[in-house]
Amino acid sequence: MTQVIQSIIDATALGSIVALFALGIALVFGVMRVVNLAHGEIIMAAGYTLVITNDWPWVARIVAAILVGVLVAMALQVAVFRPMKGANAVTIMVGSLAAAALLQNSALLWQGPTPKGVSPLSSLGESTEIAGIHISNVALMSVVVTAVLLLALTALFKRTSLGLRIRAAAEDFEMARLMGIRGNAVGLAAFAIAGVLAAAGGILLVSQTGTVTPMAGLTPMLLGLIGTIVGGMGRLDGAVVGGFVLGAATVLLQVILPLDLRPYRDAILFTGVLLLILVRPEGLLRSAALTERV
Amino acid sequence: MTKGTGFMGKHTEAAMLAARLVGLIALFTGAAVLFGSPSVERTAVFGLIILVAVVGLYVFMGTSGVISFGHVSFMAIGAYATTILTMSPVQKEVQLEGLPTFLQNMEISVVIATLIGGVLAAIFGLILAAPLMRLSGLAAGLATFSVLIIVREVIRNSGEVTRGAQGISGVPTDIINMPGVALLCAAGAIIIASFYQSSSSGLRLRASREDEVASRAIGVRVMRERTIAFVISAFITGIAGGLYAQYLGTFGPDAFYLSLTFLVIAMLVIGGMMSLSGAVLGTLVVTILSEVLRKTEESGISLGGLIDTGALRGLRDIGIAIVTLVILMMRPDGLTNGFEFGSSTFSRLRRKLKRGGEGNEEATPAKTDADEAGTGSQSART
Repeated sequence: MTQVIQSIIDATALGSIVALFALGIALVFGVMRVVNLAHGEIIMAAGYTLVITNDWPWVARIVAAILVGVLVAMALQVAVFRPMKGANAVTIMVGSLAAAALLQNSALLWQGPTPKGVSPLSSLGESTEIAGIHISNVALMSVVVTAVLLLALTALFKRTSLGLRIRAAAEDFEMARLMGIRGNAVGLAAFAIAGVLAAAGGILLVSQTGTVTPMAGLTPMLLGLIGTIVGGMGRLDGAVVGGFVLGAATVLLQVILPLDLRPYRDAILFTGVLLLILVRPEGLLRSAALTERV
Repeated sequence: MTKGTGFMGKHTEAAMLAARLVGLIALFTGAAVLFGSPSVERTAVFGLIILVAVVGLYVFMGTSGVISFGHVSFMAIGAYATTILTMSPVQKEVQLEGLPTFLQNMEISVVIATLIGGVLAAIFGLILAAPLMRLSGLAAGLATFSVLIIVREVIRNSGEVTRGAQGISGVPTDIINMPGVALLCAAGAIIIASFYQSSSSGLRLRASREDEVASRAIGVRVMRERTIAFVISAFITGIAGGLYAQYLGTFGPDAFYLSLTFLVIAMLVIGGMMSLSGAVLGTLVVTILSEVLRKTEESGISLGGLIDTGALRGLRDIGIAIVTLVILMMRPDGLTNGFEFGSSTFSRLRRKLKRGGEGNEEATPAKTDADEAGTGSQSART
């Protein structure tokens, strides 16, 4: 029984983290209509920031990692996405792929391919006991942090003028600009927020695994992207749902699968994704904004 | 004067384009063999093999406009099939215990094995086409990426048949290392691609690339044309995989995963996704760049003993990434901007050379509206 609860907690924790990544990707997609395949590198950058600041007080480390995440995200917008605005979708995807390769290999060049250890932030490495069950602090924090960030984001979107501008730009970029909204500023803001989300998720993920490699951002980005599509592209709540479902499924599959099928877990997961894309390409929650206009 | 429409059959144009492109790569291959060190020669062979893969990708992605992140899995299939078929039974006993007996005792010539690898990849492509060809845009990219991951995972975990992550070896490597052979394969791929893209099926598919709704309105069966392109593309790419296996000698499933995918896609996009000349040019440019950077990667940069960086791992990929970004920003449609090397390209070049202008073939893929296969009404200025 404790095993079951443990798995549910782990699934919830990973689901929350993936939901953060999915939300970041969906936000950028919503505003700029492009998929940022370099999103994972923001995560990786935040992870390496934690590596370098191993001896700092944990508050400073978190601030540093988030700052780096935001800077990398904004750099991506300015250096890659803004100059390529208007090009066809494939070109932009390949461009973001190139940016990702650039960042990955720069990290490789600088830090080398071996995994670097990250010392835990305050008490994140330990576990608490609630009602007789050991819950790792990271899992707890993942759920809490995600919930807090989601609430904050909702407040941002519904109550502030920046949020209003972002929503307007996401719905119809050209129209928003005609109404006086500065497109570049909004794009930058969207990327910055995505940077915060990616960095937060990255901090949680790295705290869970304990190490960082140059390729560390790839799988999270992939899961986030798939989560966005599974949940319904173009809808922020869809991204959260999709990301959560995907993260949870990853853990649950690991537990449910019989032993000899376990190595195939990823293959099975992606087959599921493939089937979902084929059966329902719009994702679980449909978005009116995304129906293609002829 | 418009050539290419009217009297000359479209297939003559296809043959001439193929001839020009083969001539171009033969020129560079010849230069590499005659003037280069053995490592340069080996790079030339690598470039030619990758060219087959890039041309294979172009046949689908360039003609249909649908992105495919999973083409390298066709290479994986071709590679493993070729290796398993050409390994001697003794080697198979040692490395692969789980093979069915008829495969265990088989040992075929590497040429036939490569072709069989291509056919197997084509069959896999046919199976995939049924569900995948309905998708386009991001969904297609993601679906094909899923295929890449699934294939790699399956290979990695089927150790009894593929030796999994440890890597398989035993494929003969002597034939492919003769630049002439590699050149022949690349030429073959170019010829197939050129004739395909000017065939009626190819033309219809390109129409659907430009405007899917309009092409459907005139009766193009988009799914059918995409499937045809996908299968041909899978065949060519599968053969590229078999060749690559021979080049590597020993390889594992990660040889056909993300960095190869990025390399092939980068080459196609840099050269220009929408023309065969783009595929060839992109491969040429990136191969040369890659060789230059590889030397620097190995020996590092040392300035008179003041700075010595030692080996700089990853420099090559960084360089390619930067070049990709720069080119995509300046010319989002790639170096060739969607145009093919028409005969007017060369007459313009001849005139420029005579006038003492730039003599560099790659820097001026000239475009006029007389170029066959030019897309739409763009006229780019050099």
